[in-house]
Amino acid sequence: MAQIKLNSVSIEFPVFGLSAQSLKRQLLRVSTGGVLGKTEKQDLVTINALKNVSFQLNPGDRLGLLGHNGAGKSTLLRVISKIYEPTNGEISVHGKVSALLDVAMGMDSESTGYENIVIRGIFHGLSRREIKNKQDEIAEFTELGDYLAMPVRTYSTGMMLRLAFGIATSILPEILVLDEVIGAGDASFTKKAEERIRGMIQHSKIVVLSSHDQSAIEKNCNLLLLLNAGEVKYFGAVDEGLKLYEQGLAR
Amino acid sequence: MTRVAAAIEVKDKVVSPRFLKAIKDVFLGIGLWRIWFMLGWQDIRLRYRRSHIGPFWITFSMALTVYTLSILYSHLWKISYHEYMLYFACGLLSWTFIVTIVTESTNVFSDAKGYLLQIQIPFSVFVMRMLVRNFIVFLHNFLAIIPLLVFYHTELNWHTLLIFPIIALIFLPAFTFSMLLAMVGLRYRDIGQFITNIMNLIFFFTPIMWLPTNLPQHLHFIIYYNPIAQLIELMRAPLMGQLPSEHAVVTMIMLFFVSLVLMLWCFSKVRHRIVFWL
Repeated sequence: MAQIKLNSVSIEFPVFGLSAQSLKRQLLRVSTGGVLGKTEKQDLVTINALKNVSFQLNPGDRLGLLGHNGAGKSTLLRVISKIYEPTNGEISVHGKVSALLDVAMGMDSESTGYENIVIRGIFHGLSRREIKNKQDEIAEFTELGDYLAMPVRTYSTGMMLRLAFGIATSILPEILVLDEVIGAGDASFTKKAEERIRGMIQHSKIVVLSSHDQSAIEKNCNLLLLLNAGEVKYFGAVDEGLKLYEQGLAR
Repeated sequence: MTRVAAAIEVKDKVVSPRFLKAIKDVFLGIGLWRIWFMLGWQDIRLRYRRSHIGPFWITFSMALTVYTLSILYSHLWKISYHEYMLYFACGLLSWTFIVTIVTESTNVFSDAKGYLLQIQIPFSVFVMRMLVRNFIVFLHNFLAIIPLLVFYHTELNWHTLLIFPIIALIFLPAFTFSMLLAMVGLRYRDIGQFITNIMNLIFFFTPIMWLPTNLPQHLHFIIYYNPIAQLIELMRAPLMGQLPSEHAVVTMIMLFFVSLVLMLWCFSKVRHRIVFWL
């Protein structure tokens, strides 16, 4: 059964300045017997990207994340995708997670469109045969036709985006993690992309998506989480949360 | 691989979970051979994109170095060209293999930033990718010395076939050592530069251009305690139809165990922090 459970999860980033990351400092610290140790500790700036985040998602839940830039949305998505391990607290994720944080991950501009489908497929653990089966479907969706046999570097930005989006969204995960992908692509493609994302959302057991687009969250989610400076300000029904968010914006 | 992972899961309560997660990362990563094999090939293809002879530039560059420099150096050392050429070629081939693995190790994780921050994937995948890439380079370099092996076939015997199991064995310390260097190199960015410089120096302290017999007896410790020299001996000897020395084999095994212990210790401690260092 798909489930996500966070128990007072905190993430603390070390920020290495020029001084902290060099070996010289560390060596000096050792050789001076810890006298520099104190300044060293002060040098190491940390960012509390998430503070005491707790919530639970069950099958059928579609969670939308809202928050200003730097509120910790992407960090939270990375925690759920098991890229970041919590500095404090616990997280348990049951079910196969597929993160769509960067649709263009692993795209190789020298390879053809078809080859890029294979590359991405291998990353998802598909066999060559399973990838072959996906190819036609992706070709149809992207409408790239013969261009798929051309190196990706010959593509326009829009075509590149179509391919990346088509490949990334061709695999249906149990738990889907999305970062700002809704509405990607040029105007004519946006509608199609939206439909495809909606299809994915409907077929995944749990969805977590972050977006600045409130209407996208309204349309797709049944739960909302408001983040501010790494802390959960609200977790619950969407309409009530959106009201809170708008009030916060007005203030 | 899933069976290994399952077995590890069972023992989860007995041994430290951090250590088990480190072990799991190593085995799961090695199990994802489709990914690292593909990435390794892709690296080679990208490096030589749109060039006509592609990765055979590696072969060409090796051939050029070996065939010209061995003429020069056989004159410098005043030994016969025939005696020197095979020795130099096999030594340089082995050196290139080992040195690129060592120097590229420190950048393995920073080069994989794009993947490590986007999906959950074992770290060891990217070390394997680097090893595969260098093995492909090695095979291209090997092509350059095949004419020599054919020409000096009188030197060859069944010992030559030992090169294959030896390469397979060298992958063990290469993997553990590279994992270690990859972690350290990511955390301390100066290490990469330091290692590159040290390796440049080690080249001159390793019998590749010169023969061990050139060295006065009381200085032989330079070779004896030089692990790189021993690894090269291990690869060069079979290529020249000789049995590698026992000391070379022992050195390799020791390198493997020391780096294995250090790597597992470090990896258990910092595995969950590595993404924050990217």
